[in-house]
Amino acid sequence: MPEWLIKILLAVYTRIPPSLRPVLKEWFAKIVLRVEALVKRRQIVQGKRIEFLDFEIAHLVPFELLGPGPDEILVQAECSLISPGTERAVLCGLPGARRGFPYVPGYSTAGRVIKKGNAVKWVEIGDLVTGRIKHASYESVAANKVFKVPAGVTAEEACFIELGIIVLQGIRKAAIKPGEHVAVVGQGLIGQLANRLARLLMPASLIAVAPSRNRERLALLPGGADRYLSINEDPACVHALEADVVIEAVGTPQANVTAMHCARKGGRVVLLGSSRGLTRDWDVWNVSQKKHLTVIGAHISDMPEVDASPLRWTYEQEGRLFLELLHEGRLKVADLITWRAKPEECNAVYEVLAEGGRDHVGITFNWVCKER
Amino acid sequence: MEPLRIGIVGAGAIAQRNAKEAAASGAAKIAGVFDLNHKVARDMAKALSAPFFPSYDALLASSDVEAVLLSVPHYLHKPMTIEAASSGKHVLVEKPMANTLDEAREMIACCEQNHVQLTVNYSFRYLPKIQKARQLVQEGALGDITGIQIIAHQFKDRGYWSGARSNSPDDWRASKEKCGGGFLIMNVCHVIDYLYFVTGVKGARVYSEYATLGSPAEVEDIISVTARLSNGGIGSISASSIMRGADQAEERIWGTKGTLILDPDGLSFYSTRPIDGKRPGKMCRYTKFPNVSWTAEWVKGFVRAVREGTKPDISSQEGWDNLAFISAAYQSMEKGEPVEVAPFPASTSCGA
Amino acid sequence: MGLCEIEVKIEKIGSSFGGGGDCLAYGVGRALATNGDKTAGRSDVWVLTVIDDRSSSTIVVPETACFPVPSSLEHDMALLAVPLAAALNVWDRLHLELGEIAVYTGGHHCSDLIGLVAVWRGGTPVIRLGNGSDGESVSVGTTIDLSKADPDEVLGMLRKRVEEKPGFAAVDLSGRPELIDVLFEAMPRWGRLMLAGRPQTPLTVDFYNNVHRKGATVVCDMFDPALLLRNKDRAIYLSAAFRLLENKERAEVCARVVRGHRLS
Repeated sequence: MPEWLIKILLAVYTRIPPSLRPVLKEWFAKIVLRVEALVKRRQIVQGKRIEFLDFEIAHLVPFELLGPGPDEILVQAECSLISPGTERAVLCGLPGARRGFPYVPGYSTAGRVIKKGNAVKWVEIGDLVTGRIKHASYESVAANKVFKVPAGVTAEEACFIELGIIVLQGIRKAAIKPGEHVAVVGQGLIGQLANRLARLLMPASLIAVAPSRNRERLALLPGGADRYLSINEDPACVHALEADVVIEAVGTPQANVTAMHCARKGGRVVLLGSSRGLTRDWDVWNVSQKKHLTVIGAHISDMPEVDASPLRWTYEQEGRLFLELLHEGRLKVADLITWRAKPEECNAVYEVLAEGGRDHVGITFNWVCKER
Repeated sequence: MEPLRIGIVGAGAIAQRNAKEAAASGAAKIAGVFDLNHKVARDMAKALSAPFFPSYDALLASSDVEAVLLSVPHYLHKPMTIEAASSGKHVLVEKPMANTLDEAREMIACCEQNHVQLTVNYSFRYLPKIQKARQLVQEGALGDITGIQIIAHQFKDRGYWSGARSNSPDDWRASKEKCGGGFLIMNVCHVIDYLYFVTGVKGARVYSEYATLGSPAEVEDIISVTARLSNGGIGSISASSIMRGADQAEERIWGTKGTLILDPDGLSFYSTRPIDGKRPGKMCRYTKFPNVSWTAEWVKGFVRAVREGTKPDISSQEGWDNLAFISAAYQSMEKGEPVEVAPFPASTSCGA
Repeated sequence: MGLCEIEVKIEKIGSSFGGGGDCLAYGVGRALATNGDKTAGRSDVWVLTVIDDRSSSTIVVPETACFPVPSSLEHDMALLAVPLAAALNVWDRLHLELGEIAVYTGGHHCSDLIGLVAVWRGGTPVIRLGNGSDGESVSVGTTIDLSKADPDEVLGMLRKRVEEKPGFAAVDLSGRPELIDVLFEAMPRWGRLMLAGRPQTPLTVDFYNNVHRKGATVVCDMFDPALLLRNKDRAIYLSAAFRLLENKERAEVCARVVRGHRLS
């Protein structure tokens, strides 16, 4: 849309009484979509998706989307995974995650290709794919932005893709060597996935550290941690850990320092959790310099767009590796799912998430129970 | 009048507003900016064309700084005021004056000892609406005050408690130790102050109940207070920061001759007397007020007091009275009994 | 004297200007006797060693704590090899590459030696952040004087230089929060930063935006030349330093940039 038109429309919009704006906005979007469908000769698909309507309010709402363009595929969702840290942050308006409402969450979904554009060659209708897709029954996505799921890997496993990539790039930067002592601070979904991926690198010991024991059972499942420490029970436990490598997977400003306490002299601390905020009162001398620590930032946006280098693979490379690990059975993730919810239950699901998630770790929405 | 050279301490959203309004008042010149978050302090200093100071000590050491404007978490009000006063700087501190009366006492004593002036940012008094209400009450619109009611309900989202709206996110607002309390000390304190100002009546004895029922915080998010007023009237506060979808903000003052209602859009009054040229026995409404910067007025008032050596409009006594009422409300709930509001101390001793 | 120990007559002592840790000293001296066989009976072997006991001019130290000094080097130069080796170690740990921007701060008498080594490693440009209070210094590369410029301006200048480069490595030797903050802010994606000065107060750091999201590496350590002698790789770094100092011109440049170092 040209800028001058946007300006005119905005000027008109601001003169409309606020109570009428949502309805008008909705109608305007419908008209624009229909015009676009006519011009591009594409179908309009009716779907349902989860929306955050306001702070701590999620709801399943009908929506319309355009069918796939020449390079796109239409994916019917089978299973989508909640990214607890990011989605909770937006839902609750936490620092660094203030977004306007309504907001459509979700970025880790697996589903079937039910339609494809003329130019799409490498996937076929009926294929299971996974990638950055919202919590929605249908979505048209660029075919080259999704991963084809290998045979034997279920949609429930494949929907871990984005979280898997997030953790893989952090584990890669940690450069864990066989025989090292590893501590994973934080036992939410990211922490539990970090346990599983660090375990593949044969550490001498893998210690899960978390405030409470709520997630102990899950953390100690086969393929997970060797031991579980509760900071609430013994705040000093972090100082005795002396880990070679510490993975910070809490995502609070103070957890960065807690992770540093867990490291041995000369240890490495990987900041995998999104702490969204300022770390205050960092006694850099006593906590970090005297221990000669190396602190490594690991966020998904750090990944190179093209060309991998040691310790830095691209998004596509990590994604393919994640699916390969699942395919070979070297990595299991389905047992980390603690709540398999229907999309209609989203209001209750996000209510729990907003309150801290109780002892839940992996929460998925299963979209294929019935036709919606 | 020579502008007061003010060092801005804290560069959060309120500090930014305070600093801009102070500079625009013409009564002050921004002589420096400090915040532990250097990034925001640098940005603010640049926007105000003022020097950035990397530490509070460095700002206080500057001879170009005559006064400090502290817009920092509540628990820092006392130590930073004492440090400033000891360096001979006048102090403008955000509300509330401190977290406890003991802290307030130390602040007052230290400022007295060092012959520097102290003011607390209860600048809502300068809102034209509040000035008008005071004028009406002084002209006798209400007769003798018999009742005061404060209703203040809103919703503070979860992000508020971790400082999501701030440019330096921090969770101090959720901490009893750092914030001193919740909705009452953080927000309703303003209303209590301007109602003191409007009526000239203060709280004398307080009963309260409070709780934290819907926020990730240690401090209260709902409170109910009943108070015996200094003139024998009765006051009540119903306040919370957990009312979703239906904000409420209204104050009613009533007396033997009428009633006055303050709400976000203006004020209404009913009087049995012909006041302000209005016919008696009829509800009158005022919604149009001049656009005045209440912060600028507060700063101007303080600068005048500093230059003329007089007591500021909003002095340590106003700060104390407000905190004394709030402290009594918290203590009442904690003790399970009514609590007398502590009077302003006749003399203080510097315990710093 | 136990097995594998050497008696050393200390001739010159180098100062340790550490970042506030243990005050270590090191010196160059003549090896008088040993239980090993390398220097037995010889008095023309000179060694560099850590000095734990400054009260005596003759000390007994483990052989592993000594490092033979090439005969071609003067004693002053041998002493200079220690900070030079430490400076080499700093940029090694930060993996400074040819053409990357290298930033260092004032605040240490060896600051400019670190800058010089950055030039030698191919840092382009090499930028020194400092201010007038650093005292006499021989700057290498571009200096951004913080005492004169507005910090925001400094950050703007630094960012502009950083934007043009594919890589960034920086060392703080000052421990000053305002300099550290500028470095954190200016650091681009995949930047490497060493905090090697001792801050006197706790820091406020935006790890989320400046480390986590940038994929940055922050090395927390202290820059203390004497500690190099306890580094497991000291032989590699000292050998390299000796080789560099054998060139008189280069040695003079090194001596000039180390504040307080005097050629005898």
